[in-house]
Amino acid sequence: MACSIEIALRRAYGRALGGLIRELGSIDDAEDMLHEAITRALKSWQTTIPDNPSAWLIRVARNAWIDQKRRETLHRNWQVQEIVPEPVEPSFTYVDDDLLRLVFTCCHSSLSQTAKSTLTLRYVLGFTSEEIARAYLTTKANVEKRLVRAKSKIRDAGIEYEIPQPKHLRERLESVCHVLYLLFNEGYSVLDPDRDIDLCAEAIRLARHMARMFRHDDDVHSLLALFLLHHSRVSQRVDREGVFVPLSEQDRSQWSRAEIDEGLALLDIVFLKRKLPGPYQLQAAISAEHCRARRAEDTRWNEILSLYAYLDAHYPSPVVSLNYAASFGLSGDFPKADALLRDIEAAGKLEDYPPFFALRAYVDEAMGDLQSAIGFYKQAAELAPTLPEQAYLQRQLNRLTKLSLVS
Amino acid sequence: MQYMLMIYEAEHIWEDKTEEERLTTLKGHGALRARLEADNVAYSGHPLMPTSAATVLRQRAGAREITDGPYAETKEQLAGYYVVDCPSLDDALDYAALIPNSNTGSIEIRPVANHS
Repeated sequence: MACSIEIALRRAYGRALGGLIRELGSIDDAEDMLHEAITRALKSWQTTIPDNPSAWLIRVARNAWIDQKRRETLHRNWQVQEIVPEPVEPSFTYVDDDLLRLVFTCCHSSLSQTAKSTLTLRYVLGFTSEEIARAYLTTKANVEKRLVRAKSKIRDAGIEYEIPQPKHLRERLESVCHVLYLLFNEGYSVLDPDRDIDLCAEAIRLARHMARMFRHDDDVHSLLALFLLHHSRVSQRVDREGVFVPLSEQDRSQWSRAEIDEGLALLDIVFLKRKLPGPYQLQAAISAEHCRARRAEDTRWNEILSLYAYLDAHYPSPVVSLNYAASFGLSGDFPKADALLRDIEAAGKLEDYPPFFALRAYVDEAMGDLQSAIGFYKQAAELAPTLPEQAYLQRQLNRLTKLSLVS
Repeated sequence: MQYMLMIYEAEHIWEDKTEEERLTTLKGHGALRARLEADNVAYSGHPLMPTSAATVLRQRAGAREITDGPYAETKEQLAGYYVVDCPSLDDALDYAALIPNSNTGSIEIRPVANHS
């Protein structure tokens, strides 16, 4: 079953690479030997997949390295030298330290955002360059170039392959959280249920690991909660005809109860600490409000609006403003939505952002300006980044066009 | 590994400082030096005269072009530098954070190229 071997390999990749980097002392050597081990795994795991796949990969890679060193030495002189690194049986904490080291290195602040994401996808989450290329709609060659550049930066700038000192941990965790957030976002915005790479699931997997390693970190736990609550609805966002389904029309009985419960539980723990809420916590709380409402009509808009007010005051951004405006619109307060939209337009920061046009159209229609709504739905449809969204917006456009012909 | 810590700051910031504020900045640099010595880190470093004393040289098609220094007072200019010899980027970052100008300007950290 090639499918489950590939999944097992991907899951084991980061841990195996982390352990090998520590043992062999070089990222390039570790990568090469791991590649060897994976080639053998693809054959040998056809019969059974080992209980501890990463330990298997480390052992085989290490042996391949020893063999290679022996051959090199034989080549150089006639005496065979024993080059045997200490075989370390990976205990649970040791293995996780290796993975953590890798995560922190790949997310070092000195690297560009693209470099961080690409490195994390490749080395921590074990995606191949082809898979990464598909996820970012680019070519395998581009991805390989990015990886080479990023590895050069790590080497040239002297970024150490280490877990940060306690005094820097908070700042470095922020960087990791941001990378995870971007990865999840990338996966969430795709709206392709047939896509074979679930970036959201991978972001969740890594966030879980971080949450286990940093049991007291509110940001990491809030982030995981945010991911789970969003992910619970992912199957309902596109209907059978491939059209986007807005939140208010989704079949809530099909949302993943398990993910909602886990997300809510995580959020409760963070809230119980009664510290000032962070941005992930606030976003998770907003998502939680939607997940809690059994029907769209049960949504507690007042809670959502207070949360957005807080976000807008403490962690403002153009997208936060837009979502704030959207919440006013969806809760029926169109004058407020309109006012916020005008402010956003005046600030000029969301000029090509498709959701702006969609929301503007929605509010215009609600306030009776059909012609304006039609214009904005048209623009939104043209700018729509995915086919499901385009189909949805086109549908609204058609609906309003018919209406305007009648009236 | 050797890192150059380049201090960039808008020139008016030093000019606008009072005697007392300047003294505080200089003390900050003194503290960084003391820390480097305590950590046994090899270093060198100098403040630079302002850009009004600068000269720029370029060579194009074999001809020398010499002009007076960069202008703009509000733009950040190179105000000084340190070169520190420490094991990793994270260590260099820690020292850079001790440069008083990091609070008002930017510190660029770049490894010294090893062309040996």
